[in-house]
Amino acid sequence: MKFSKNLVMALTVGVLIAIAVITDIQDVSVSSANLEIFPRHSVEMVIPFGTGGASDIFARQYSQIVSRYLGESLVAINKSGAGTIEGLLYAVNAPADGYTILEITPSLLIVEAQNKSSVKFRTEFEPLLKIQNDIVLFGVADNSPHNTVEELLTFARENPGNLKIGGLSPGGLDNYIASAFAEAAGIEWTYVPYKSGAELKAAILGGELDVYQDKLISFMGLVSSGDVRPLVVLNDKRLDVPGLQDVPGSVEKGINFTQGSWRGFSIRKDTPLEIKNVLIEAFQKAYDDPQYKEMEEREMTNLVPGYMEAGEFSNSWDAEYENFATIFKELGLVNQQ
Amino acid sequence: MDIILQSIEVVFNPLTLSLIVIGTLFGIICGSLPGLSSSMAIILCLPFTYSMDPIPAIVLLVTVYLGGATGGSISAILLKTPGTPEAIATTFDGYPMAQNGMAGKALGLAVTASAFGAIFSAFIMLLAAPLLASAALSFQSAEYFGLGLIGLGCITSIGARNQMKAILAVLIGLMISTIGIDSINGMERFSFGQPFLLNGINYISVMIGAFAIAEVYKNIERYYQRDTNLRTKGKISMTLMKFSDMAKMWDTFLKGSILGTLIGIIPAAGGSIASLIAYGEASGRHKDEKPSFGDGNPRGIIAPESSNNAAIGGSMVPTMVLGIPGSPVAAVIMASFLIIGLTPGPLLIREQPILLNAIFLAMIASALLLFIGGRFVTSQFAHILKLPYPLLGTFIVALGLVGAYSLNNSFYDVFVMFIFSLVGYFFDKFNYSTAALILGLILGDLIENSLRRQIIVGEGSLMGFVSRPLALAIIVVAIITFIWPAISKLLNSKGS
Repeated sequence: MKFSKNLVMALTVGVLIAIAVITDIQDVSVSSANLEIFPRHSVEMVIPFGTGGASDIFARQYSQIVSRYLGESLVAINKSGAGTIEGLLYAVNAPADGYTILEITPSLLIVEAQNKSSVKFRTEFEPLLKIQNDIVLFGVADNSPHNTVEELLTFARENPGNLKIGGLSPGGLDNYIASAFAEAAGIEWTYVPYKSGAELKAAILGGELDVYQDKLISFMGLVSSGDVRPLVVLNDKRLDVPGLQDVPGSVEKGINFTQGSWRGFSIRKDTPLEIKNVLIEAFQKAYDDPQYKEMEEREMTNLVPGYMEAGEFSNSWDAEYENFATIFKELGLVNQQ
Repeated sequence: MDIILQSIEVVFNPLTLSLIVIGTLFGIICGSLPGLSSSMAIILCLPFTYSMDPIPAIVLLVTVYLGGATGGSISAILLKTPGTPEAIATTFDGYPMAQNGMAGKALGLAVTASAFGAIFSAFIMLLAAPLLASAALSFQSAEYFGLGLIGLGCITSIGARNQMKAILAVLIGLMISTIGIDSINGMERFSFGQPFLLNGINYISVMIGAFAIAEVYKNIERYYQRDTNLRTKGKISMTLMKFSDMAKMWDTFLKGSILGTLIGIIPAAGGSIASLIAYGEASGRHKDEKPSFGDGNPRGIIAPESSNNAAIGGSMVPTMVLGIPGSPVAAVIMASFLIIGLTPGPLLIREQPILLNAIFLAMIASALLLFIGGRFVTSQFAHILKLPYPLLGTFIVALGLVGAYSLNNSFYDVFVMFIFSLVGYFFDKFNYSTAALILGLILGDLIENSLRRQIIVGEGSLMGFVSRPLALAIIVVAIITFIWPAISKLLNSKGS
């Protein structure tokens, strides 16, 4: 029995040491970073979102294409805690040696604009490449009395706050889009947040919501089934997609607001230039790869090209940040401290 | 007829059949390991489907889902560690039954009930998919609120031994569920400036801590006090009950499957909620049976296991017909539909008539394979159980650690797990119900958000709960569930 007691102790100590070692591994790799050959081992791609969402699936598919050009595998890892903050913290605490890449979407700028994280995204990271845009559309259920966007807006002006528009997570991109569109169009409506796309779609089909907003591919499902009537594309021109050719763009209707989602990649700011260039080249080649073109076409993210090189991408961050900060301040969702 | 023949041809060819075998087995293995949920297992399979035809690809994913929902019960029964969230309710009676030396029987029941539930829901899916899918849309915020209340009503049966303490535990659970970013107006609640609390307390790490790790503490204590050898005696292998014995409990099989299928069809509510409600229903109806619920009543395994597998067929209904996933795992399957090049929606069933039949056949085949796969994985677990307790306990802690860490790849979840292992330990010591705590934690979110959403939608009025017939009916059932034990006690005392 004495033996067993010691064994318990030994195993407990063993587990604790193992945890300690795992958490320290990253610091060891700093010293061995060799600038001449990159990459020497697999590169980690941090996805600050949960498994199964659009951004997760995009990053996983894209990382497989990049791996072919990088010569080492790009390993996807989800760090979805604290609404992207955990992924951000994880990537910022990793050494700036090019072995940790962060997938980014507007959500990271929103977190910064709301002052939710101690780590400021734009001061710590720099862009590699922006890959795609995901267009957002507004629509109504097919039995709705509103046939055009004008009718909808007129109704909204006459009945402020009466229309209900749904979206995911309060204080997220959907909330911003609903509020900023309303401001640009001079209307008022009520934003109702849902936990998942499933509940959102059920709510528009079941009649709980008046206005439905979603990203293109997800939106098209309900358009092709005839359940949803698309009213407006948040874009400067119409989309050349069967079923959407007659749907006006928001700019065309005099509403100067075009925001969708987008996806790209970034890296810690003080990463050596040589390493950064190797990565940009691999990501660029993956972008030109026919397999990516096929993926883009399937997911309908090729309609409004989102591709941007690092410099341009970086400027777009600042512009979007300002917009987010303004709207969320009005909504009272900016942390004060 | 032609379609049926075609789908038989597609499913029963060597490649697809072997995918069914691989998918089911892989699902059971992932499901039985707490670190790998069904969604993760499906994502791991996804890259292999890129080069496949659509039907074999979907068949693979659905069988992984089915295997995962069943595998979760193996670790729930043997280690008190639910391998998947769907298996929480299975621990309530499965583990005590295993402790009473009937582990094999418990596993046999779990697998039989799983297979029954899966086959039942597959038939419903095939026969009534379009009809049920549109009915699912009458489920809106007011109805979700009612569903949450029914779930909460389960405490009157779960915590039958000490009502007051069970209610207290539920309230603590409800309170914990409010931590994090408020999902209606985006404000931070009880986060104390800690980023890791923004997403709230993950109920899976609470569950692993309060069930599995707390049980290890308890066993360590026993080990030191009595110095007994806690080694599992005898051989554990899955044993099937006699058909006639099981037939006596036909109503639980059937009710679990019906509840599971229905809750599966409701968008976004999946196997975890289904199994809790089915468990609550069974324990309320048969509460005078011996052994009582919580001590290893066989119905306490049948109800959750048949319903969590029935939720699979149910959740595939709106996924395919409306493009609205019926459960969180079905949402991952739907995302893979898009990668494979299929657009879910009414057109899908028209354009791909074989698909629905193929999924049906695959589910049946996979359900039958559960018996073989379950036996195999159980025999592997049985080896682990033969270890002396110091080793087994360490193994369970390590498994729990990995399980909690892999939720978000975050040590904060491990931290939460350890905090709640202490909570679970003391709850157990002072007869507070851990199950009630977790029930409150899981349902708090659903109840609070659907209530507040209904108030927004109803522009501040609560009339929606009364004017919507379905919501009213559900809420009335929920209230009856709550007060029934008190009423029946009153009636009994009058009778005598």
